[in-house]
Amino acid sequence: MTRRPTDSQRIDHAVSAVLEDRQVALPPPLADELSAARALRADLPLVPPGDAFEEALARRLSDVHTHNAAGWVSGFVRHHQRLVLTGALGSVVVSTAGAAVLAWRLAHRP
Amino acid sequence: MREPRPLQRPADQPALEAPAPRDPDLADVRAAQRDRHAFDRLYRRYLDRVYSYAFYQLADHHDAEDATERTFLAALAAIDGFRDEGSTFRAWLFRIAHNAIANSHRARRRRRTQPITDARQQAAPGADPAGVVARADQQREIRAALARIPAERRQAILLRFVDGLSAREIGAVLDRSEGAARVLLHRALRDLAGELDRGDA
Repeated sequence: MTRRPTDSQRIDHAVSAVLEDRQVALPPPLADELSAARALRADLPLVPPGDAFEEALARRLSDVHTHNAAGWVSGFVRHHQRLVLTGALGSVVVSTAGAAVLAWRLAHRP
Repeated sequence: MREPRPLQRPADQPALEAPAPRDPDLADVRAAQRDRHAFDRLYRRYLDRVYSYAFYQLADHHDAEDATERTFLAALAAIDGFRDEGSTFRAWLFRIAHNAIANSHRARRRRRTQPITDARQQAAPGADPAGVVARADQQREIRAALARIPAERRQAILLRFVDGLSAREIGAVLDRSEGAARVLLHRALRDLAGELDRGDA
């Protein structure tokens, strides 16, 4: 057995029809609400902001992202400076040792 | 501008509870979570709607711009936290806008400034002047009637008619169930019909 839809459900579906510009009718107790919905559909337009505001905010959002990325890198370096320094020194020592071994091998080649 | 939502039944035989809607923005949200530059698509899609929602409630372009800016900055900062769990991105976004507008109302009460009238809606070139005046009068009448109904009912109307949110999404924005949001919208329309009648009389 199916339950009858409530008035709120009937209004909600009628509003969907109004928003999609489809024809719909409701009996008198709900007809006033439907008229109000049609008036809203006709006379409550989107109000776009100015183009200058749109582009300025788009730039601001893009800048926030760029600053966030730069901030992440500098934050990582600051937070892990000992690790970064050890890594850099280690890589210098290993490359110097590698170069020295290579030079010694080349010098003592039979 | 509005995306059509297909109905399964005629308007006079509605389903009791609609299934959870698929979020049409989900792919773009996932892209923005991987690369923040992709957020621009969501921004462009929703800018007019968020701005209109703020403008109709704050009745001031500067305050509406401020609330819109805070909404999108907060949304970008929190985009990683968005989860597709029963609600949609636009309901999540309008929840942020709802909070930003509430903050603007509080700031305005402290500043005690007078809102300025809307000077931005201008007629298209070549439009019939008498028609433009009549249209502007109707829009002013609707906005005046909206201003006289309780705030939460007004928000429900704006979310439904300006922003195209479903009852389920309105419930998510206003922290109510889908059924309660439907009842709120019904009462809002009843109030508005009464106010428009009073205006005609």
